[in-house]
Amino acid sequence: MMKYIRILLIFSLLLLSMVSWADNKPLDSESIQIIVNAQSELTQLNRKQIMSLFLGRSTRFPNGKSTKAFDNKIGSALRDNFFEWLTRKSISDIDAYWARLRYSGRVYPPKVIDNLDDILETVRQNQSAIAYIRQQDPEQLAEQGITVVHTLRKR
Amino acid sequence: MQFKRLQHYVLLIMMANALVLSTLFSIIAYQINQRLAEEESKRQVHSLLAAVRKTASAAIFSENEVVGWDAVNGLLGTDVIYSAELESFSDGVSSGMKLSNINKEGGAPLPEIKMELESIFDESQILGVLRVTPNAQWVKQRTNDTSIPTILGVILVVFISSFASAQALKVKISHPLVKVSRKLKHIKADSPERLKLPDHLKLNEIGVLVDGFNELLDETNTAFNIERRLRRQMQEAQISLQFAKSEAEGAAQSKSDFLATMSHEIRTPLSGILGMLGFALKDQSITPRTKEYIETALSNAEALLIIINDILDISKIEAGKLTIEEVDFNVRKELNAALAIFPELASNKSLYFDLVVEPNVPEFLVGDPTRIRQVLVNFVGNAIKFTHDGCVQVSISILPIKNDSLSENTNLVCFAVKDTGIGLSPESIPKLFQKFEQADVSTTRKFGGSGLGLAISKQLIEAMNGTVNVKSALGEGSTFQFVLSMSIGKATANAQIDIEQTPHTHKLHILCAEDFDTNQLIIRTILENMGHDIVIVENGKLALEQLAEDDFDLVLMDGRMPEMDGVEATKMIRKGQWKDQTIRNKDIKVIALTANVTEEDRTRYLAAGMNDFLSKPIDETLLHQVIEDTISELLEQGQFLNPLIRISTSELDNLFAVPSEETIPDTSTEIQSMPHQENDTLEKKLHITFINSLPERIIEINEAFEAQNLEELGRLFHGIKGSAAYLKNQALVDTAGQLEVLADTNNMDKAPSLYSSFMQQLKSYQTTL
Repeated sequence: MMKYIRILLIFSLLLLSMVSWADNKPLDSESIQIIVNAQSELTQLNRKQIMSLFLGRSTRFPNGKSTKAFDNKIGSALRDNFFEWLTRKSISDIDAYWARLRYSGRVYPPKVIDNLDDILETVRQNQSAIAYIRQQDPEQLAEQGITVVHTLRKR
Repeated sequence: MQFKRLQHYVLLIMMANALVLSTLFSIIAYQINQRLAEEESKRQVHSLLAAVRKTASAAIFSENEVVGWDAVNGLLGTDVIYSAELESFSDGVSSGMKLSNINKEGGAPLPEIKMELESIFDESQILGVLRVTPNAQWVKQRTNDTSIPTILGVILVVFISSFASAQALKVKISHPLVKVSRKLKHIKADSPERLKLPDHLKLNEIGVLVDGFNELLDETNTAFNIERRLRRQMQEAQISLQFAKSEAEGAAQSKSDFLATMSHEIRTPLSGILGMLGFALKDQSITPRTKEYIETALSNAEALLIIINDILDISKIEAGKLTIEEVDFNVRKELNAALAIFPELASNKSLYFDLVVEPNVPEFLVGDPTRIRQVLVNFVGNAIKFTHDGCVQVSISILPIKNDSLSENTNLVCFAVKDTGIGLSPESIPKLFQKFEQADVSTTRKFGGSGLGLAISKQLIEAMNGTVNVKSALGEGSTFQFVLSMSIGKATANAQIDIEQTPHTHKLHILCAEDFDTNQLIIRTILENMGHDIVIVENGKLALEQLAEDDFDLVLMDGRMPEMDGVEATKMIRKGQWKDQTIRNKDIKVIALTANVTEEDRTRYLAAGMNDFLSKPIDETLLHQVIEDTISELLEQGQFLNPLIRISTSELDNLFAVPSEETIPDTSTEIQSMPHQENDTLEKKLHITFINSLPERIIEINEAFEAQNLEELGRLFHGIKGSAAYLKNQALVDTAGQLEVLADTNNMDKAPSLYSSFMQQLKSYQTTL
């Protein structure tokens, strides 16, 4: 019985790892772009400023304009990479952080938008929005009225 | 001081020690526990801080007060922390916040612990600080919680170990000590018992102590044994000394006895010599030259007698038999008599002799005249002996009394003999009074003498409670003096000394028992000179035979005789019976003739029933007196005595084998010249005595007649007959004589008329005066 359970457990773990590997495929060769509405007049944000905005420390841009960050799907490789590359912490730390804050009932994590098009659309239409995407051609983005204020790469 | 047991003392010390130790341990333990509690609180604080760190960091990072309060209150949720403060620094992004709270449970702060909080996502950026103060109360509580069991444990352990130590000490030290000390109380040095301890207790100092004590006991025991042995030896020595002493005393006694016996034995023949020499001197037929020889012999014999007497005195003194009389005596008369011979002796040496009696000396004193006389004679004799020219002076004086204790009646009488003789050297004076010592040995050669005189004198003076002293220097004469304390005496009749030796009125039939020939001769001579009838026998047995055969008026009995001595014979006389023979007159007067007249002898003689004593050599005057007394006593009793018929001189001469000559001894001359007038007065005196005694006699005769006691009647008639004969009443003599015969022959009832006429005669005689 015990033996059987053990075998079952090992098998299921193997299966689970195969699934996550397939889903969280690292994007080593890629970079992540932090984008804002071009009308926000922002051209550049440093990593620290980006952190404050995405991790709930600040809700304003350095120019004093109110801002709202949007997140990608939780568990996606993009999101994992983004936070890991941004904070140089594991994604579990980030989740724990948010868990703590959420526990207080006052601070909430950024709103999650599942697909890239929705993200681009949100940023295009909202001057205070800030979000991150997989690397795109900045020229194309600029045509859509989106400014890339920072690009994150794997270190 | 109360006795304190060592055991308790040890326990007390141990417990005190335990108290100190446990207190000390408790303090240390408390300190340690406090430190530990502090550490623990720090550790807990740190771990709490670590636990809230992320929350706090998150709160600071997100500037979220709610989360911040969560962190702060989360810290304060435990009582380890007293206060907590979360501060975020204001920077470009944050405006800063400060959240501070204290534990609602209360307590007190300890030094603050600070933790810097960096940004969660950038460790290089310090965003704030979390400050907490640990709670002192928690530390205290924690310390107490951990300390109390520790302290209790320590106290328990220390006390138990102390008690155990005390017990161990008790077992190891105080118990053996108690044992030893108890034993010590009862152990005695001379007992074989020793202190004992079990071996396991011996291997320490107590063991050494016990061993040491046992050794000491052994030594003491040895010492005791030695002492006991010494004591036993001493006792043995003492016993043998005692034995030696009693032997020596016995020897001394034998010596004294020997001296006494020898002196007596020597004196007896000596008295013979003296007596014979005395008679020889009275012999007129001897030539003057022979007389001179005899005189020399006499004086030598007298000197010998004095020496013998001295020796006898010494032995008496040594035997403690010396007795001192206390009689009244006439001082001047006694001294004159005592010193009467000395003027002549002194004049022989051309010395001046003087006797001075101070007027304040009482006429009569109480003392022992014989002993005083003896001492004075000795002193004067010495003075004359050692003085060649000058004088010898005897003086009697009364010394002033210094001592108040003496009674009024007592006088200190000083007798001094002073001479101008050769004197004495200072060295020789102390030796003077020792026995057999003279001033120096040459003195003995030159002057002779026994050397006993002064020793005897000193002893006599001391026996009279007197003191003697000598003042002298060589060549300047000497003064010997002695002082006696004597009380004033009463006048004495002294009739005996004054009385003139008158011839006896009646003739006595005298029996004399004496074994020594010369003495027999002397007594016979003296008594026959006095005109008495004498029978001499040689011992007590013969005397008793004579007394059974014949009627005697007087018995003179020598003390020491062969076969039967005087004492034994006298006892038989008084008994009235000897063997199968009856003593005719058991009430006869018995006079002891003896050389040894000690007090003891006197008592012995009196106890045997003797009436009086005469010492030998016999003093004629005293013997005369005794016979005189006997005659008057017998006459008074109504004894018939023959009037004295004078013995003729020739008869006496024959008896002594003296050639018959015209010369006659003085005594007989005196007897012949007896005055008749005196005889008459005596007769008258007897007559009165007879009449005075008559009423009593009549009563006696009546009583005897009533009782028909013929023997008594015979004796009474005999008495009357004797008296009547002396009174020359012939009628009464006849009647009494007839009645006596009737009574003796048991025929009294045959002549009642004779008896009544006799009684009538007696009664009528009463009125004749």
